[in-house]
Amino acid sequence: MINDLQEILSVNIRGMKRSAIRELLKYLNQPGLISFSGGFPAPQSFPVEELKGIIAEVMENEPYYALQYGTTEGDNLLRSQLADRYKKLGIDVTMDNIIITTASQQALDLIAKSFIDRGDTIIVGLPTYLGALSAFNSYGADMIGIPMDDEGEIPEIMEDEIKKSINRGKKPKFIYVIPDFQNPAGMTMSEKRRKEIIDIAHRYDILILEDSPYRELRYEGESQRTLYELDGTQQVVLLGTFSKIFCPGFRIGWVMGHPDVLDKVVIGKQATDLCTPPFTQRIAARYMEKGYLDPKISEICKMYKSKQKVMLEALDEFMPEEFTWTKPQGGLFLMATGPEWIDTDALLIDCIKEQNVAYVAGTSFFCDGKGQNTMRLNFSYESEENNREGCRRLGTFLKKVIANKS
Amino acid sequence: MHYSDSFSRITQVMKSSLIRELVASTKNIPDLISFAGGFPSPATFPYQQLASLFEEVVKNEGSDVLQYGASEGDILLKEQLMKWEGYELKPEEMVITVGATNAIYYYTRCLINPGDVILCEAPSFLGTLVTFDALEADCQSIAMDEEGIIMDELKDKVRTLRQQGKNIKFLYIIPDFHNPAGITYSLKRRKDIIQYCIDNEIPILEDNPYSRLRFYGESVPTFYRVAKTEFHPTDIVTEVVSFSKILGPGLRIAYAKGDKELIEKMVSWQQKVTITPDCVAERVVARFLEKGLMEAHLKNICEYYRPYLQKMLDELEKHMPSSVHWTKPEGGIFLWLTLPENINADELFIEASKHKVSFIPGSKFYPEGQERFNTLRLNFTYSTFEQIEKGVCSLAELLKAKL
Ligand SMILES: Cc1ncc(COP(=O)(O)O)c(C=O)c1O
Ligand SMILES: Cc1ncc(COP(=O)(O)O)c(C=O)c1O
Repeated sequence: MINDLQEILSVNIRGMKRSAIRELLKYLNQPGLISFSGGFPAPQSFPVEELKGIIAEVMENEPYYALQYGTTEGDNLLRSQLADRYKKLGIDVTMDNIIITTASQQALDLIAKSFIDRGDTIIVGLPTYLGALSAFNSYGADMIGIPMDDEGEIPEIMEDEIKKSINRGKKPKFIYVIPDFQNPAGMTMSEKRRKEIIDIAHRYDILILEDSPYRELRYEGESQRTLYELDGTQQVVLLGTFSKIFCPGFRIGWVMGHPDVLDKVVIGKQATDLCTPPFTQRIAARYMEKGYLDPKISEICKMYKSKQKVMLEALDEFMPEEFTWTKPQGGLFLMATGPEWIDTDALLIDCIKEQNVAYVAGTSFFCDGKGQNTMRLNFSYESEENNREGCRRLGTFLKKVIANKS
Repeated sequence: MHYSDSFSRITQVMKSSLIRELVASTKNIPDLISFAGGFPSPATFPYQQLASLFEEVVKNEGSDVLQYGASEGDILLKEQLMKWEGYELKPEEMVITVGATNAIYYYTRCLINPGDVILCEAPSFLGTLVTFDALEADCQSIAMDEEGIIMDELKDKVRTLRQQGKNIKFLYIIPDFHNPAGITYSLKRRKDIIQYCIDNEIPILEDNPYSRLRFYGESVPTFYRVAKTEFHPTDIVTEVVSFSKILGPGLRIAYAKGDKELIEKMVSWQQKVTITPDCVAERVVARFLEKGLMEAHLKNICEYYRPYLQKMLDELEKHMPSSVHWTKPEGGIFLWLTLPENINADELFIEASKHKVSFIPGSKFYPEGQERFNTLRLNFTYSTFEQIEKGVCSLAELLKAKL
């Protein structure tokens, strides 16, 4: 699967020598590779049948709208569908609080552009989503990483770091968090933790960027309220996306927040791609209008819950006892941690070569370059059988590494 | 919280596109005849063909195209594009993007540091100038005649700027049925520019959304093709081709081709900014080309637009005072009018909207401080014959009254 290979490459090759990349490429083409690398949804989760009907309808009824240039803010029908959905959850928003982007990756780029000057500081988790780090990096941000416990970034340390940064004359531009099923670590913030972080943001007058692609993919436990809702003053900008609950090939995401911020994002977007394809936006809007979204999400949750269960059981069975891993209540990933001396970066090629299974080395997610003893494992993309078999292979490989060391 | 304190420096000064605001200002005028737009006519969208392709693609290749795709673009689309282009081209010399705007943005982000110079035409496409501006480039415009930018002006400009120690990064050119100027570069001018740019190490960004919309006459090979086939080194030109004006802008599909190393950098930007273009739309365009639908479709569009161009030219001829001049393009979607020096098209715009006619004042198409005010752009593809007749007549009346 070419797509997934590309993702393995893109997240792993930072800092790799050309020769190592060439070698990696060679092994990635081995038949039978099981990949826990990507952040890919399962293709079985795509609503192909529903889409066929909707595409036919949109092309029949509104082709001129769908194929013409659209506004930079996005399709009003889609914006109001999204607003209505949030309203049903008790969040007070209108269409004017929401704009559409070419998925959340673009939102991350545009928010970074709107706020970051070279040398500005940003607060992020240790670890956090690689794509966000790379978007912030491209504007020259100076990332301050905050260690995390089971509930997310540790507030005392966050406050401390903010104070230090302010004392250096650099008030952080925003606090970037992924509160639900964090990528890569998998934890979810409790309501208490959310409120503590909002509190800090208010005290120091700093924006919060809440990136929430996995929120709806909850397999157990109670849903938490968004930081956006808890804050209630629009000091939080929330990013949403259809990538994990509809299909990522349609690049559609949204930004919800204060109109002053949205204005700037829109101006930035004009200069980047003018508008997100109106055609796919309208399809997404009709899809929501017909009530397909929520039943589909339940289906996806059922599928992923079971895949995750298989992986967790297989890890229990096959991993060396020196390893621990997170047990998230949702999302697509879990993160495994080995003994301090293990270097998952250095081991990746051997792991693929010998056992034909791939993971993402943890260092990519740590802005301080640490985390070399961690790895991220995706459980949504491969089949249940492959999840089990892949863990068996991974366990075999790691046990050998550990045995050789001692 | 006051966001304005937190915005980045560039965000605080960034401006929205003036055309958006102009068009918005006339939005509520009933029965307005608008020559202002830059939209293709919906009548040219091959929507029935696209509809069945979309259904087919989702049905047969859903698990592939609904998934995250490759950041450099769909390989199947690239294969079709290579065939369509009809000359030697490798997949790694191309990147598919979310419209031409997106390709231009990545190209610019690869090359520009704040303060670097981009050479552009006077006038040039406003949307692109906005993109350049947002990346803090210093846009320097070069006057044009009927065959393109004037060589002597180009040379003078480069000499002066280099004497000032400026870093000239590239030349931005819209060679066919120019937006807004309506002209097409002659082959000789293309060659002269390429030679000059090779000698002076200035890369060329060629923006080509209209080249396939030729209603009359012989097509002229693109800068990219000329450089590739007749010059050394061949990699000075990066060409951007958009499907917005030939299939439908709503698809947001374009591609850039150029030097492999540069394309690779553009792909890295795409990976950071959108990860990938819309994968379904990419595959639909691929299948459209593969089924050989493009040539017949292009012929249809050209036949559809040709009478509108003719109509507008006829009406201008019939009504305009002799001191007004206009380009006579053989394709594209715009005409460019030059008025006597003492007439300001910005003012004319306001008067005209009271008479229910609209256009874009030419001043909007120049970098700030380099404007010419006695010019305006007319679009002929978004109005009916009656509207063209009536609209041109009212404009002419207004102008006559001023002279
Ligand atoms: C935390 C997070 N944010 C944003 C994204 C980007 O997703 P998309 O651009 O497909 O919406 C991802 C994708 O994996 C993610 O994990
Ligand atoms: C010269 C020129 N370049 C670029 C564009 C933008 O095209 P796209 O829709 O492909 O972003 C236009 C659209 O009007 C144009 O006229």
